[in-house]
Amino acid sequence: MGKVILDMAMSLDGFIAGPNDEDMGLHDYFFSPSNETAAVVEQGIKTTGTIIMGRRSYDIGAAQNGFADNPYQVPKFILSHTIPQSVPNGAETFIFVTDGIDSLIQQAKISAGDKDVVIGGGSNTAQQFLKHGYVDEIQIHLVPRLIGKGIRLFDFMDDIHIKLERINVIDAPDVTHLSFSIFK
Amino acid sequence: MARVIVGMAMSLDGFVNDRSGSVSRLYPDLEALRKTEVLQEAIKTTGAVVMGRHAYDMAEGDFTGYEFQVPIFVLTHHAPIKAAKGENGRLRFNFITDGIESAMEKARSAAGDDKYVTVVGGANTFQQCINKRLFDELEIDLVPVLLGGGLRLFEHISAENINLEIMSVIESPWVTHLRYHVVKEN
Repeated sequence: MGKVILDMAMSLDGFIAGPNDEDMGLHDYFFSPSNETAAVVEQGIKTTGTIIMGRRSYDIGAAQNGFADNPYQVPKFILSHTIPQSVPNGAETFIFVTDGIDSLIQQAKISAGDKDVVIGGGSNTAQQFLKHGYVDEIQIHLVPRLIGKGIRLFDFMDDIHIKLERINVIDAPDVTHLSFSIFK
Repeated sequence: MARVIVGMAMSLDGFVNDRSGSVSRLYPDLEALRKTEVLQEAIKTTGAVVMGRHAYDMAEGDFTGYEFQVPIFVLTHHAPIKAAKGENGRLRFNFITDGIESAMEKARSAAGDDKYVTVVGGANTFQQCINKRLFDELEIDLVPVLLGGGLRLFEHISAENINLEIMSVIESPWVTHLRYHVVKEN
């Protein structure tokens, strides 16, 4: 059985996007990768069995045709209330799950098999999976930038205390890749 | 000109204490922290300290044996009648009542060109430094815990889009020390 990994880029001040979903350069490290980042991404592609994202993240990606050149050629499970009429280029392997988070995680795990289930966003989806205790590891790509305002990754967490253990730190020139496991 | 370094320990979700005000989850062992190489290095390179009034009060009037044996510029609205114990030829208190800019200017000249002004304080002092851009370097001790609530370090920040460059990433057994410097805009 693979692990469930929350995997997101975050500014040092805790944001994953600007106030209106602007990228704010938070994924520059990914699109022009250093050698260190390229190795992290390559490893991720090898171990990722499925990707989970929220409907909002999906819609933002779809509007920007952001799935056309996605290096992760794996099934993608979307937590959603409704199923869209048509899917954009590159989004052929998208599965819309409308009966809730528990159902989605079961389906995603079965689909991933021995590989990992990766939660790629957005923050609301990430928070739901954390609160439900479904996350085994957190990988944060910490971007050296203070954005000041926007959408926070760790918000509305209702005082849950989660103890982490650092697994790995990869020090790239323009981003710090940090991974933690969650004590259960 | 001396460079200014501000720093704090912060949980992965961005808090400097939990909702009860406790920092015990961030600093499980203060003694071990005192012995770290990172702190030893800070002691060597610090020429002056700018300190928040709350941090000053936390010492309860006694700075005997304080790690930073340098001039200390305390931010306050009213100077106390009598300074805390622990002053000597190197450590001396200066109570600054006309704002953080003034404290920083005095601390910079006291520190000397090849040393740092180290800011010692809580989230409020930290936020003032960020908002007024009174810092050259930023040091975050990232603690592997999610607190879920509490006092957020990066809150009330009016400054936007400050680009940083990673200077160093040091893994100690407990925290990850992240050090950045500000990329100066042209």
